[in-house]
Amino acid sequence: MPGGAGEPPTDGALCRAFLAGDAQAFGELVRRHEELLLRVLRRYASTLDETRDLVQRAFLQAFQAARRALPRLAREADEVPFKPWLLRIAINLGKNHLRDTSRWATVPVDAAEGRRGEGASAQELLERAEQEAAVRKAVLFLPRRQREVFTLRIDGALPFAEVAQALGITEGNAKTHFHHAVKRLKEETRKP
Amino acid sequence: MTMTCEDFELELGAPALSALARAHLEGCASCRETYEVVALAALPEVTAAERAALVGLSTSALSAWRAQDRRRDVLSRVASLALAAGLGAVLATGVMWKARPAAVAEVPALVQPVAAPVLLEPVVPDFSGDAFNSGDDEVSWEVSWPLVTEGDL
Repeated sequence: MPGGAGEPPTDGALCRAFLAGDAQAFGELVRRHEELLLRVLRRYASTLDETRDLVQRAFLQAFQAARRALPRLAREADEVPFKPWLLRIAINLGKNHLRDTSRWATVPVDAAEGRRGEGASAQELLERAEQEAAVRKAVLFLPRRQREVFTLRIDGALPFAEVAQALGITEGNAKTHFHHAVKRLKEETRKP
Repeated sequence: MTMTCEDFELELGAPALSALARAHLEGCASCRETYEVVALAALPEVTAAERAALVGLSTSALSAWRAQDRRRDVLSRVASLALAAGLGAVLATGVMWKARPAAVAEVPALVQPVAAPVLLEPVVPDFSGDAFNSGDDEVSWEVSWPLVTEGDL
């Protein structure tokens, strides 16, 4: 496995190593990004199994993309943008999954339960749950680019620079989309 | 130093709000609304159950990758075989075309073709007019004329 003493190997180096036959590099890359993908993709899936399946498919497609691209990245110094590919693929898979299943995902019940505030009455909890469901549904109905930026920023907690890189847009553009997404969500919540 | 609402908005989604952002939040109703909406939209922290679902993902993903590779290998072999078979068929056709027997000279037909009959208009003699003498005397004269050798002994 590349790297060794000192700095950990980059994603690109791990990706090259795996495609050269190093199975350990594959495992390292998956472990490095699996939770990020889980956070992004669970918005699009309605069960944990679906989310896990989507995460796995995103990895497989990203490695395929890397295998196709490597011959073009002739020099060793050319970085394989593995993480942006992974995120872009994940977002597309999520979107397709949503379209295919025609279901609007909500957070798994057991996960949501853990977040509810202590001391709140049942009525308050119910109202909060309804508001959450409505806003999360509104997120899925945002225009495509706004939704992508919003989910990568909020679910993935990524800096705008990485959001922009993953989506192939400028950082300023990503910020603009985020602003419009937030504005639209605020308007949605104001509706009676 | 203060923060604008735009700057505050761009801090949303970061792992934690800065002190400046928190101070802005306390004094800005619009940003409190924004914050609340984003909090409603955000999914909760990843739970232990969700993390547990990821255990063994790298192993299963690697197995899936290898299975995919095997399928791709089989498909590429089948495609190569099909291509080779196609090329072979094309080559064989070319060889057979070149090796085919020379063309046989054309045998003349045993029966000559018969020209289509030409139908001629029948020539009808003109019996009318003065030139034609049908008088009995002249006819009898021609018949009675002796031959050159007649009377020779």
